Amino acid sequence: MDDLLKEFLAETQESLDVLDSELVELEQQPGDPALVGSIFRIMHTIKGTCGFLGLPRLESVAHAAEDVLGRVRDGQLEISQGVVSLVLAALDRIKELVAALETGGSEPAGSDAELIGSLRRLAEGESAAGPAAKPAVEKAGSLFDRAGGVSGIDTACEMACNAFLAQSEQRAALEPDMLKLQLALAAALAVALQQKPGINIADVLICLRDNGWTERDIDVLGSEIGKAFSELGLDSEDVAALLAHLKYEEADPAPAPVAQPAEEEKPARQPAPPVAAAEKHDAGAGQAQTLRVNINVLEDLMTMVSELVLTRNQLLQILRGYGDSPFLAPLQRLNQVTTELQESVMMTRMQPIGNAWSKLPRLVRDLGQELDKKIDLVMTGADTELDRQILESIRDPLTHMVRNSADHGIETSAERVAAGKTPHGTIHLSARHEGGHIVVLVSDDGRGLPMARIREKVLTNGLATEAQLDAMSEQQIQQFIFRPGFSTAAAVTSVSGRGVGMDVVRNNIEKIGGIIEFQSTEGAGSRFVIKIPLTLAIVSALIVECEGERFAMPQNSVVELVRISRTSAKGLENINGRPVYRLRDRLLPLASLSEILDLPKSDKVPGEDGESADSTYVVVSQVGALIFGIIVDKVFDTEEIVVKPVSRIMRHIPCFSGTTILGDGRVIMILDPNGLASAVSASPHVEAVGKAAAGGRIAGGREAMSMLVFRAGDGGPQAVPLSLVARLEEADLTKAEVTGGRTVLQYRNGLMPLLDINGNPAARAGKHPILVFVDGPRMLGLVVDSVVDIIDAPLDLQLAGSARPGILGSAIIAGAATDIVDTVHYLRQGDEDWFNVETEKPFGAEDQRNVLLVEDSAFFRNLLMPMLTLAGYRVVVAEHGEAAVELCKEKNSFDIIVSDIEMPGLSGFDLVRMLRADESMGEMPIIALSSHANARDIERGLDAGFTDYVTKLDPKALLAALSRVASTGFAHKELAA
Amino acid sequence: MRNEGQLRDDTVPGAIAGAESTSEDYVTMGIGGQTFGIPVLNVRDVLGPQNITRVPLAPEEIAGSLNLRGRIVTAVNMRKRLGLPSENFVATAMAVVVEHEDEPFSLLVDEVGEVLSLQSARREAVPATLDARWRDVTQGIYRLDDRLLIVLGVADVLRTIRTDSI
Repeated sequence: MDDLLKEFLAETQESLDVLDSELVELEQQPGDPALVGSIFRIMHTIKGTCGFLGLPRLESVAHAAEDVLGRVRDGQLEISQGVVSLVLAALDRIKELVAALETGGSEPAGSDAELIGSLRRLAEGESAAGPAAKPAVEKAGSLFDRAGGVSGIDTACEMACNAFLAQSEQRAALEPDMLKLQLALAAALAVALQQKPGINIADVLICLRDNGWTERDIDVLGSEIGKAFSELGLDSEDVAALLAHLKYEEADPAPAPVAQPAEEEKPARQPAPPVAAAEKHDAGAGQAQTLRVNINVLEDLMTMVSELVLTRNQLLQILRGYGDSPFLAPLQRLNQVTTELQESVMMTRMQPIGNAWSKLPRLVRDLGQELDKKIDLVMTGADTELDRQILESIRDPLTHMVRNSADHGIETSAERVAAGKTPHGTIHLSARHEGGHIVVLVSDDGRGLPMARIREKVLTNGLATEAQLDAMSEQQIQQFIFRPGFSTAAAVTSVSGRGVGMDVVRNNIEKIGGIIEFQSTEGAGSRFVIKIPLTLAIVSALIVECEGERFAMPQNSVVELVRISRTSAKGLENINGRPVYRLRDRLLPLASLSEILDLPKSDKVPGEDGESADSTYVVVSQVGALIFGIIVDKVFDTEEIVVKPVSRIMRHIPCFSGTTILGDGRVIMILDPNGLASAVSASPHVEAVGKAAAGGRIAGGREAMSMLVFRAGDGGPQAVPLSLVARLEEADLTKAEVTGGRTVLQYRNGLMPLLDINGNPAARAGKHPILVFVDGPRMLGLVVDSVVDIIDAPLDLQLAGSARPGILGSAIIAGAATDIVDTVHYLRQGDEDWFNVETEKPFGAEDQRNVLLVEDSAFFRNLLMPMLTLAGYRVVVAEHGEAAVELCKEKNSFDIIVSDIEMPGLSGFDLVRMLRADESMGEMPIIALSSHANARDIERGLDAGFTDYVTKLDPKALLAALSRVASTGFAHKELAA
Repeated sequence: MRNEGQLRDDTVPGAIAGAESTSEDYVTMGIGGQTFGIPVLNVRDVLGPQNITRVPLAPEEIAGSLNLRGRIVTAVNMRKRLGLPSENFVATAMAVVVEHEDEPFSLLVDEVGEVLSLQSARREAVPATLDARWRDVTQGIYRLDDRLLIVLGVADVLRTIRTDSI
């Protein structure tokens, strides 16, 4: 593709964007002649250039559209929605053709006859209806403005020069210089009309004469310019005034410097027209001198500056080592220059955010038509600048949000009026600087988020249960829209609701270190707040050290730093083995950087290198709504670092967002706050705490379990694992009977003892729900006041050791502190020998067996340990496989090991293989405990070396297996019943 | 087998291979006592022991990153890559800098030797019996006077690390 075509494409893209928004504007303010003029000129330029480049399809479409616009300008055609739609259709066709041209290098084949036909009919049909009396246009503004500003003059000169060439005999000789002449002429005319100092028009004319132009030639050119201007809509009076400028200078051929300056001005002028057109038709006054530069050149420049910054940092670092150096002064100068250079280069990458918005007015207009809604798009702060890389990443998310607002948010006019609102809906889009960030707001005054639908959707998608939703604030529930696959659109319209959801938007924004928040009031509208960093290339970062290795932590995600003394460790606590920190009024989940990154312990003894060793630091960070703390050993300065991409070979590591070189020349990794956040919340505990903090983050933890929540007696809600409950019944207790001091109920041809929550025989009064526990012929009913809900929740016993018997501990279920009931306690109360039936004293009390229970779930530990103890075993507990191995090595005095299968780290299978490999433990009976127990699982367990295999929720089977193993000697391979 | 004697005569260290246009120059390097070669045109730089920053969680063959005049270069521990013992290797290793898909990498090796000019026609196929780890990265073998030279495929070295890690 030749350079000319490339230039045309780039220029046309810009013009088309301008046209898009100006046409929509015109539709709203049909009377604005300046706007019509501008639109006409742009279309004219496109037509002219296409003709010049030999692009017939483009030319004919543009020509037809130009005709229609010409009628509009002449007042012969009223601006209506139909007119604008048709011109926009032409614009779309032009865009298509340009796109094809860009990829293919030539115009695609095809016919535009239909489109051109309707444009023609519009132009002719309306004009045939009678030329409406041309409204007397007030002569507003200066002659310069009426002539159409710089772009108008450019167009006129272009037309004139082309016409001149067409009738000149020396066409071939003149042609090469004609473009130069055209530009010089236009520039000179513009200067003359504005009465500004600059290129003298006389110089241009003198130069022409010097080049052998005759007076006649110049006359012809002059009259062509006049013709061109009148064609562009200037009345004859103005044309005469304009031409007078030419004549006047001609009559006064002052010997002046040759036209060289005019030619020198040219390159800077050349790219001006499209830009000027974009700047509201009066750009002439403060016209910026712009230059089109290849983006790769800018990128290269940026890279070089980055290197320079690094070198500067290194030099300064070295300099600090020398008290007094002759390099001091020049280096400080270098420092200053580098900083300024860095800022300037950063500026070249800055673009107004409006560039990402340019397509939105058109989008909203088309949506409004398609959906029969009246929508105003109000944009403020479009000139707020940000790095082009970031601009690119927010373009799509912004478009998506505006589209959502127009599609789902704004109601139809009828609905709005019915709701007591104005018939016009408004979407506000605004941007502003705030600190080192840009804050973008997208808000609408539409119907807001329908809470009922969100709830319904959350429930059907299984993202949360009813009780969990009840415990959430409205805003927390609203955040569900950011979850994958979440769309509240009832129908898939052609516009949105195609399943590309807000989760993608959030991902894109978080990827560039931004955050997005959402608020909505049903009936009054919704509002997105997006906060994004200004630039990605050079960021301020906090340098931290952990186990002797340094890392950079982007400053914008750091909320605060907390120093914790190792000796007192005040505020540092553990919940279920996970560290948390009490920061003011909130509990902060912590994670150690050395654990996240799996850093090898450094051999350095704490205290060896100075004061910082007796304390540790917590870097409090925020990603979205999740606030967490990262434990590091040391914290250094903040430094401006240049972000370089991570090598492809290591890009799969989520914890790093880049690499950089520090002032001292060493390479360090830049931590990715998003990656750290997911590493932090990967642990089940933090997930639970994070849920409260993040609002709506439901734990998908490993140990999620169905819990039956009920109320009984005084106090808060209580819960029992649903899997232990056989049935739920409701019975009239007045029908219960008393036998042997127990309350019993006739139930399924048997007698079921009934207990109340205190373990006493239930009172025989009123109708109550009963939780029925069944085991073979035995039954037990636990009488409760009401059954609240069934909730899937990760179970984390927080307060083990109970206030009263029958309670294992407490856990947070659906946001409320809930007591977990010890089923075994009640079962024993109801039937003394429930668990003793088959144990039958296999061993004497003085001959207690030592059992090692390996179980990572606190719930099962707390469920099984008292049960085993009650059954007469001495129980030692290990929380994971690694601990179990340690314990076995330490004191090899266990008789039986009972181990869970699914555990983090060493699984039950791994554990049994390891233990079997050890000679001293080769014969040790090991019972597998698992929630899965089909034949294949059991076989697999036995193959791995387990002695027996029982299901977790069948305490009786476990006791039976233990008893069997203990009494019949060891290594007895037999399936559990 | 082809004419062995002839082959040996041709492989004079550093010699420009006469009129034959099909000769190629290799930078030789030693890894665990074995001689390897990389076409000289692929080599950007040869460095002495460098200060290398370890990258946590990276594949084990990746020794870390180093700073080469402002560029960040990923260092590959060739001993690890070939399954050889590599205790205290990184701190003393020589670094051969190569470019792969516009990204600089440095191969950490025991030593870097002379440049040999070898006749392409003399290159022999990879023996099928070679350990898979080695075979993956071997493009061919030359028989020198006193030893064998394995032509190392830089792209293969890096590609296989990538697939291992994902």
